[in-house]
Amino acid sequence: MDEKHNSKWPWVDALGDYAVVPVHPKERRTLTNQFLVFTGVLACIAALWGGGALGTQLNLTQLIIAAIVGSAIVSVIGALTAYIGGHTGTSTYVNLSRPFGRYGGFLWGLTAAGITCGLGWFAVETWLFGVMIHDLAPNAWWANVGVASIWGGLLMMTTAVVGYKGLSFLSYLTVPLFIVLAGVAFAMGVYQGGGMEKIFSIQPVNPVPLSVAITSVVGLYIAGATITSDVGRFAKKPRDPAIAWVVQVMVIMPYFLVGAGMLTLGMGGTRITEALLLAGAGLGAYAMAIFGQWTTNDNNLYSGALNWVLLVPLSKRTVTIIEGIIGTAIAAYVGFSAGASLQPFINFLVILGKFVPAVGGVLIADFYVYWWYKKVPVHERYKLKIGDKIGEINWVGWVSAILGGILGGWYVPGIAALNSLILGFVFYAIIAIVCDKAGVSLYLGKYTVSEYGLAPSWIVKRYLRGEKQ
Amino acid sequence: MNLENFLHTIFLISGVFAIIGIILGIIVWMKDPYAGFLWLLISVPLMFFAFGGSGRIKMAKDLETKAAIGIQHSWWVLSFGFSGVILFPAPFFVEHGGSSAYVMTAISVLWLLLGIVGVYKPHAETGVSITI
Repeated sequence: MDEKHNSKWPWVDALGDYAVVPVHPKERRTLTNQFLVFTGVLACIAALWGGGALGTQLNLTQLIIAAIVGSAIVSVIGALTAYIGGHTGTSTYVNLSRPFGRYGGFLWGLTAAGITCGLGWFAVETWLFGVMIHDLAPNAWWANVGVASIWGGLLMMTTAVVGYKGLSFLSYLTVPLFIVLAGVAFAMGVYQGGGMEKIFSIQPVNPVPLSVAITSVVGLYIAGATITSDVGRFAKKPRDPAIAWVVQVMVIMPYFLVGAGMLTLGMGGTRITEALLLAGAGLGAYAMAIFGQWTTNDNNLYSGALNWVLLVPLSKRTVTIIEGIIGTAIAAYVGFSAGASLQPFINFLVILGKFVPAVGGVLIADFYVYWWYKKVPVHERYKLKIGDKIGEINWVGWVSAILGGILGGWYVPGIAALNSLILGFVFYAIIAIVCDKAGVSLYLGKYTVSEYGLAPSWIVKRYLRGEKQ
Repeated sequence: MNLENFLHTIFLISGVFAIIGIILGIIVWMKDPYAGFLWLLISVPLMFFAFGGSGRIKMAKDLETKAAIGIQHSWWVLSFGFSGVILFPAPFFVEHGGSSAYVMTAISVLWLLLGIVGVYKPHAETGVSITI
């Protein structure tokens, strides 16, 4: 009898990487691991690249304010969802099956992680990787946008194929490098700008209002903040992922944003990787482009594959490879085709992205408000148990997320991502409690949790066939 | 040499070189603070992680915990060494830090190697995950 079938841990991990069952206690990691993996996800597009862009739009005082305010909003949201993952030890998909039902968790998980991250953003960021490498070495054949997209995409697939251990390994290696690089960008920015006093007086090349900048900071990472359970479930203690999240978002994120922003401000509006190269960071500029994109994009692929395996009758490893090849092929095609643009594709992802925070809002409302209203103690909430009944569809979650996404994303002024999240939260809390008081059930159909967790029946059959062989 | 003494030795060597890095950093800082910043940004945390690792290992009771702490702290030594190998030879730091940049590159290579051994050996001897 192997470790996956022992009496202390009653689950059978038919899909691998604990996609639909709680993480085995032996696989739980430390607070340091959580901090490094979260920071690895943050390290490129979400902070250094975003900070570099803000440096062209704000003066230094505004940049610091935007970084702190935006990070504070993201830290609260991410801490609330990370705690759920650390407490239950289950993935975003499994947790979403409570406020959306089993089919809902599957559909929203596929929308948020499978399509948006695993295919969409993976392709876009692989293409962006090609663009960045081309900017750094415009005359080299290996830095052609298409060629760089291919080797970059394959590189990013390697750690995603290994799974959580692969992501951890890369984060352990590179996170201190990003911390140092942000500090180097800060020092070089002050040097290029002619000292601290002068850099405070520099005006941005493309100024925008502070509220727009705060929106950008929140938008950079709010989707990540809603799917923190995929990392947080590996924590030894429930509070660890929440602590790791808050520390990395409140300390590391403003540090990255301001460090990168200082350099582009001091250099007069150049892109961060180019600015580093021009300022004399040498290999550091290439390292930022390669590792920054790699640590972020392998997470996209990993989260995507966790959801696709519920639909495709293949192993998670094979799904990751197929997903990676598709994304890389799209990126390379756009890179090789002069005039081809990913903009329509990006627009589609942005539309999907407006619903992701609403999904997070519904999850937070269900766990912290509705279950509190139902008088379920915190340590009992969302705990997956064999024999438990879970709704196939929670219609209140669906209605709240769709309304929150549409109203918050298109009709209510302010920060679209934050609007969607708050509206999803408010709609769910109100409708669920009112329905409960009126005796109207939130759930359609019931699913009984087996030792295979929330694995679909065809996956269980395939697993049993493989075990017999 | 048993695992505990081995880890203490690795952290002692790393820590001593971190102190050398801090001294060199202060010298470069006095000449050019923008460049000297890198010396301190790498050497100061590395010193804390090296000596801190040694201290935590002493306090730990069982071999598995000692190995886990050794792996965690060796990762910091490894990855700060990796950062140094990439950044110290960069044109900006060679121009502003002179020969000190080359000395730090060599020290960073040493940190990188010590870190790799410090991650691998406790894992090989106790089976503790390398990404604990």
